[in-house]
Amino acid sequence: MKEDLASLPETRSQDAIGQPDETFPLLHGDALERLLQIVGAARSGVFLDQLQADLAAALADLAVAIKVQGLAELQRATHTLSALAGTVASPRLEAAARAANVLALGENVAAFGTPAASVLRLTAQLSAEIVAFRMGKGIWSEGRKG
Amino acid sequence: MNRTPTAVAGRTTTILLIEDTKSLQMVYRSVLEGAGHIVHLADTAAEGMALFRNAEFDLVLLDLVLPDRDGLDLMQEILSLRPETVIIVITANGSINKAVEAMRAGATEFLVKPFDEIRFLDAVRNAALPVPARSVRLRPGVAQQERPLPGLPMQTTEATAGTFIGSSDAMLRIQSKIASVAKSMATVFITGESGTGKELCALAVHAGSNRANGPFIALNCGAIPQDLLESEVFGHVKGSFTGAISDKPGAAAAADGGTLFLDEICEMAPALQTKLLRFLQTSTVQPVGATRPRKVNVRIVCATNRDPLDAVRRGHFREDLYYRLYVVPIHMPSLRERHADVIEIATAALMHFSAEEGRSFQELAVDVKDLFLRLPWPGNVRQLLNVIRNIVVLNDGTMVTMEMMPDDLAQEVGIAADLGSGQTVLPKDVVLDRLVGKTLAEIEREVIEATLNFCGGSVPKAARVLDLAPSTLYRKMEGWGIAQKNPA
Repeated sequence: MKEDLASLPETRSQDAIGQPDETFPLLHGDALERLLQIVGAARSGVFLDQLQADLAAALADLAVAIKVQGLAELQRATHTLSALAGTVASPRLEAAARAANVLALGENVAAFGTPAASVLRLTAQLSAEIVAFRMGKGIWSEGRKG
Repeated sequence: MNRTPTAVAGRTTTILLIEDTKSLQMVYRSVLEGAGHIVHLADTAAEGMALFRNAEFDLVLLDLVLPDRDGLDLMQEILSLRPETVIIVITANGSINKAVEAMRAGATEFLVKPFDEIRFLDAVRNAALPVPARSVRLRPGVAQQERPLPGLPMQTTEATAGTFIGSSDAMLRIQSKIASVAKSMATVFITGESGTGKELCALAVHAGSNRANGPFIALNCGAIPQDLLESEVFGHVKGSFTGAISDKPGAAAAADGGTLFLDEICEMAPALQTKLLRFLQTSTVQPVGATRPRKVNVRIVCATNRDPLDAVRRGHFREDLYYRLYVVPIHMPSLRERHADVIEIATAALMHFSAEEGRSFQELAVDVKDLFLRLPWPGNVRQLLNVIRNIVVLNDGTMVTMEMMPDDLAQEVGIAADLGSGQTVLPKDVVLDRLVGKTLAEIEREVIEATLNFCGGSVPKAARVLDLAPSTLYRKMEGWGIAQKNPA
């Protein structure tokens, strides 16, 4: 095959996604509402608990991965964050996590610092926005109602 | 009656979902269960493997990045245990290379995260279809030969033209044509709408030929990523590109001594059309990375649901390739064009699925027959079979009654009633006069817009009526700048 398959998907994905700037919202509330519809009202609180827990876990994993410069850990954490961000429609975090994931998959640890810092910052901000969203909607799991 | 409303398009599927991120797991599970599927969850590769060993699943949804093991590695173990397993790989950006490897290693489909509800359900529905109706059906090294066809209108498992169900004039003509051309080496070009049985026709041509004992290899040119298609058709040698971990013969070589069926031929990329033309002219294949070509003896049967000549006019399909392939055309009639066969097909399918599902259905009630004869069946035989399958799975008894009709069919009834009201139906020649002079693209847009209006702006409903993937419709609407309404 003339094209180097290994180089294609990342490039295309990045082109397709672009790099959303600061004017993009960190969280699209409509998309999150749709996810809550999908999981159902009864499980909305549990779902949001789980979402926050997954974000927190990935954040912690990423921090550890950066510290120990573990490639597999970097790949896994950025993969998870990319998927989570995409699912809740957070284009800024998604793009940052994807870019970091590409670097991790390319074993380009030297260039990882800046995008990783961006991913850490945006993940923390997204978690805060989800909390704000929950407060606005009054969605809590059974154990935390009232 | 206890019916799962959204499971109407197909039977209930038992799915093993292996995904370690709990919140994503919850979303996938909710969507799948909402569509009537049964979902078993695994957080890790080890847990997934344990479940897989102890139960039967129709489908495995597999995240490639798992905490305890590489997903690709897990997939290979699953396929080594049960090679027929249908696996959909889920991956996020950056692991697409792995997804490509996964497809080569036998995955049926891959979905790129983030999650898209419609695409997700489409992929599951497609993957869960019986093999001949599915979009991608070539496993590396596995030739598709004559085989039982549980989901298609055949009275026996013998893939012979005589076993097509239907005694309408249209079907008799098709059977006669197949019998005439089967013994020759001539290339057969099958056209017809989706769901009319083009692959079945190809199988019948193969079964009636002198090479019936040879392999029948089906390849859907539209469903395989273009990056993979050359390798799928012509094969590759180990090390020729990233992920080429072993030699692979390719469909053309695998079909040596038999028949190569190229479905959705008009979707083939121009570069590959050139290679296909060379293959047809020289009867030799040269796998990617190979230094020497190899001679093969293959009969080509191809199919499309488009107008191939129009594809040539638009420059999407090579004219020389068109004339090379368009030797013996066979047009599969839509179910609307052979309404007389509807009851015959429905009854045969009812008996077949009843036996398969352990039900006792024997016949269709008179008003059901009447309804079936009035419906437009835009999805053709495939749609009719899905309806019968749905009825059989969700009900029991000796007679199929109106109460057992799937919810989606109610919409079809509404369409049929409206079409019969005289308000919207114009004489055929008047309709055609109005359309003559317009390009096919303009007509397509008109039909799509009218269908969207008819369906209250619901893209999924319109997609069902048009027998298109919702994603295709969204793409077209986006291209035309048409705003979409969110489905309820």
